[in-house]
Amino acid sequence: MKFIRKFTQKTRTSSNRNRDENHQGSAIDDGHRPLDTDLDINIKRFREETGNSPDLKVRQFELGSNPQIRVAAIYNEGLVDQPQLNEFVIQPLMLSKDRGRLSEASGEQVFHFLRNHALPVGEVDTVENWNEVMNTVMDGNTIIFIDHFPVAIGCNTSGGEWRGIEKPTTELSIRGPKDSFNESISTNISLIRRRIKSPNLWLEMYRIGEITHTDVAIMYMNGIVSDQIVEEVRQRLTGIKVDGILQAGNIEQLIEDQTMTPFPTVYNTERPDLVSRYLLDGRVAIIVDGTPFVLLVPALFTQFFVASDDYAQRYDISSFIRLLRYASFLISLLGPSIYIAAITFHQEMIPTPLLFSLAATREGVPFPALVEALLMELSFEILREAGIRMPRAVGQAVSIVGALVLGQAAVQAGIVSPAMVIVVSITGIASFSTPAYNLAVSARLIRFVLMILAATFGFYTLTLAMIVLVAHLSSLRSFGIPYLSPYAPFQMDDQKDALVRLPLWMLATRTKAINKKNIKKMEPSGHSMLKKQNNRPEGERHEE
Amino acid sequence: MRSRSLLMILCMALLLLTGCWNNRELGTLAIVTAIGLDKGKNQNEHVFSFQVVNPSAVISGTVGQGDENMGPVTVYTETGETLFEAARKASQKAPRRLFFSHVRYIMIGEQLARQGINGVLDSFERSNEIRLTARLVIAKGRTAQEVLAIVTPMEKIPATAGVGALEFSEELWGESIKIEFDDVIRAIGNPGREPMISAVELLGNPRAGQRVENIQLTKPDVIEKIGGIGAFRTGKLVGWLEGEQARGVNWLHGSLKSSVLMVDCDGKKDQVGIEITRSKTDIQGKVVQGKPQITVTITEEASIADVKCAIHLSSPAVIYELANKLEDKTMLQIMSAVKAAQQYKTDIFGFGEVIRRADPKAWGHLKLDWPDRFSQLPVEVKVKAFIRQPGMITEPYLLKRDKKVRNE
Repeated sequence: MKFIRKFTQKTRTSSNRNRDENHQGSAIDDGHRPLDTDLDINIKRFREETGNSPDLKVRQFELGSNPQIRVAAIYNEGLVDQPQLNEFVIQPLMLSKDRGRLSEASGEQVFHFLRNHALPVGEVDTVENWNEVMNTVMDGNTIIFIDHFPVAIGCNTSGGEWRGIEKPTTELSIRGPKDSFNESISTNISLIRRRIKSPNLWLEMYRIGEITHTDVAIMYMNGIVSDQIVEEVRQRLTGIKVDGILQAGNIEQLIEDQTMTPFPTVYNTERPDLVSRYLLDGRVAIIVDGTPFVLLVPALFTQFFVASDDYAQRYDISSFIRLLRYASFLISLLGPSIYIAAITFHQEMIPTPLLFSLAATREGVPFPALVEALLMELSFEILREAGIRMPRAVGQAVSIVGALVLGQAAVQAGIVSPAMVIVVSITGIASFSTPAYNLAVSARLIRFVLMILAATFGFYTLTLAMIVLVAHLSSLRSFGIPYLSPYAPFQMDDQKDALVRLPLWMLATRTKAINKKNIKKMEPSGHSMLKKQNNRPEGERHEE
Repeated sequence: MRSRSLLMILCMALLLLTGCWNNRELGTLAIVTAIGLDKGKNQNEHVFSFQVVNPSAVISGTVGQGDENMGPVTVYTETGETLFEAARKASQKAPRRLFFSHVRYIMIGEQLARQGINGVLDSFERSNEIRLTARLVIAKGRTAQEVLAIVTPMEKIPATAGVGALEFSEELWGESIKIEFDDVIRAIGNPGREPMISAVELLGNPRAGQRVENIQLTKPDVIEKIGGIGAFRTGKLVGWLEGEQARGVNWLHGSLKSSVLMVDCDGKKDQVGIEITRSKTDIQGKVVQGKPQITVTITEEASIADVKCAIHLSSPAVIYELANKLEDKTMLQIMSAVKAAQQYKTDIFGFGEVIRRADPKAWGHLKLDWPDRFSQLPVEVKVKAFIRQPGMITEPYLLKRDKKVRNE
C-alpha cells in the first residue's frame, strides 16, 4: 500500500510542478509569494490563511544549541498517517543523536541537515512558496518550517481512513472477481495495476477543481490505445475549469460528446476487471478521487450490454444471455407502448381469444389505456425511487404498500386492468436486466415519450419514433468513435463480440472500431493448433 | 432559434390536437364474431345479424367476476340493402361500435342462398375490417339469425364452436369443406369454377337454443351439426352434395386430410374400416378434337382401423386385396361427387380452370357453354392406394378364435 501511495504521490507532485510552471507565465497571484525567513511570521500567516482551523496542527520545537534553531511541523490531523508522522518525523527531529552537529548552524545548514540526514521518510520535497505549502498540507503531508530560512521541507506522511475494498454493489456477477473500487484513487489505481502488470500501463495525473483540487488520473495501455483518443481526453480534462469536482459523474457530464441525448456516451463501472478488460481493448480509464466508479471512454452502445460474467461463462450461455439482454432492453423501451397501440388502434392484430380476455379485463376500467398505463408506470417509478432513497429500516413498509396498492388493490378496485399490471411488471423487470444502470435509465425516459406517441397514432408513430431513435443513435459519437459501431458502420470482425459472444479463441482482434494499431490480441491459430496436436497420432509425432 | 422552437411546439401540438385519430378504446367496441345474412321481406332487402361477444360473460374469473347470467353473445339483427348500411343502422340498438376485424364466420340463410348471393358480398370484401379468411357457411333449412343465436357447449362463443366443428369435421371425417370468404369471391369471378359452401344444420328446436340453460344440460336440446356441401350456379344455391358425394368433393378439392372408409370382406358389406392417413390429388385436363377430358389421379395412404371379419392381415395378398377394394371405393365416391355436380351443371371442382390451363385456345370457345359441356364431361379417375399399417395388432382376434377352434 505504502509503495503505491508513494508512487502516486510522486506523480502528483511532479504534475503539480508542471502546473505551477505553467502558471508562472500568467499574473503572479498571491499564492506564489515566497516564504518569509522568520518562522513566527510564517506560522502567523499560515494560521491567518487557514482561519485558525484547529485540525491544522502546528508543532514547534527547537533544534541544536547555542543558539537554538526553532522549527515547526505543520500538518492536518485527519489526513496524516499518525504513527508514521510520530515515528519518522517528530521523533527524529526531537531525539536525533546528531543534534549536536547543529551548534552554531545557520538556517540553511539546518535545512540541509534535516533534508538529507534527519528525516527517514520515503519522500522529501523542497517547498518554496505558499501555494505549495497549502497543497502539501491539504494532501495530508507535513511541512517543516525552519527559522531564518525561506524554504520549507515537505515530507510525505499522508494517510487517513478509507473504506475498505468491498464486494460490488451495483454490478454483481456470479463467477467474476468480487472486488470493487472504493473512494481512494490510489487504491483504485492499485486494483488495476495488480491486474495488468505491464510497464506499458501508463498513468497521468491531473488536479481538477479550482477549490477542491480533486485528483483525476487517466490510465491507458501505451502501444494499444490510439494517441488521438488519449490526446482528446487530455484536452477535455484540462479544459475543465470549475470550482469543485466531487465525483466522477461531474467529470462525465463535463467531457461527454453530446449533452442533448438520453443515451450515455461515457461508460462507468465499479469493477476493476472490466476496467482492465477495456484498457486492453484500447480504452482510456478516468479515475476520480472520491468516487468508487471509474469512467471509460470511448463508450459504444454494445458495451452497455456486456457484463463481467459474459467472459467468465462459456460462450453459448453468454451469447444467449446477451441476446436476452437486448430483448429485455427492447421490452423495457417498447412494452407499454406496444400494448397501448395494440389495444387502442390495432385490435385486429390481437389474436381473437386474447382480444376477448383483454376486453373482459378492461370491462369497467374507467380510464383510457394511456392514462391507465401512465398511472401504473408513474407509480412504479415512484416506488422504485422510494426504494432507492428510503432508509433500509422502512424498506419493508414500502414494499408491502407498493405491492398491495399497485398489484392487488388497484385491480380489485377496477381502476386498472390486470393485463396492464402484467405489462408494467414485465417492463419493470426487463429494465433491471440491462447491466449498465445509465442505459436502463435512458430506456425508462424514452418509454414515456413512446407511450404518448403510441396513444396518438398507434404503430404508425411508434415506427416513426423508432426510426428517429435509430437515426439519433447512429449520429452519436463517443470521443470520435461512432456510438452504434460495430452495427453502423458495420464492422464484420467486431460482430463476434456484439450481439453474441463467440468462443474466446475466435476473438483474436481488439475492437476494430476503436483500435487502429496493434489489432491482434491473440495468435489466431492458438486454439486450433492445440486441437491438431492433440489429435495427431503418436507415431507421427515421433517422426518430427 | 426562436422560429425553430416555435416549430417544435407546433409539431408537439400536432400530436395532441389530432384527437387521437382512429383511436378506439377496447371498452367502446362490440366485437362481432359472426355475421348472418338472410333474405328480407322485399326484393333486394337483406336481414343482417351480428353476433356480438359479451367479453365478461365469456372469460370467467375476471374482475367483474364474469356475469354467468349474461348470454355469452348477443345477436343484433337489422335490415338493409348492404352490410354497411345495416352495420351503421345497428348502432341504434347496440351500445357500442360494431367492430368487424374478428369476424370468423359468415353464415348465409338457405333461402337467401337459393335466391342468390352475388349482390351482397361486395361490401364484405371492400371493408377494411372484415378479413377475407372468415369462414363461409350456409344455414341449411333455416335462417342464419336462428342458427347464430344458439348457445353452444364447451366453446362459449358460437362462432368459435362453429369454426372448430367445421375444421375438425373436414380434417377427420371429410364430408364438409372449409371455405373461406376469399375462395367464394374468387370462384364467383372465375368462369371455370363455381363456388361451394359447407352447411350447418340445427338439430332440435331453435328457440330452446337461445337460452343459456341449453348448455347447462348434459345433452343439449339444440346442437349444431356440420354436414353437406352446397353447390352454387351463377351465385344461386342449386343443390346439396351429402355423405359420400361430399367426401368426393373434398377429394377432388385436394383438401381431404384424413377420413374413414368401410370396405367389404367375406362377401359382407362394410366390414373393414380403413383410415385414410394421407392423400394426394392430381387433376389433368386435355382437349381432344375439341372435346375436353379430365383425368384425376389420387394417391392415398391408409391404415387399417377396424376389422369385423376373420382375415389374415399378416399376408400381403390380403392387404393388396384390401387396397384394391379401397381404390374401388374411393373411385366410386369421387364419381358420385362428379355425377352429382354434373347433374346440377355446376363446376364446383374447377375443371374448367384445369382445361383453360391445359389448352387456353380451346377454352376460349369452350367457356361459352361450359355448364352444359361440364355436365357431359368425361372424367376418368385413377386411384392408387397403399395400406401401410395394420394398427397396433396384426391379426384380428376373431381369427385367433377360428384358429383355436380348428386346432382342437
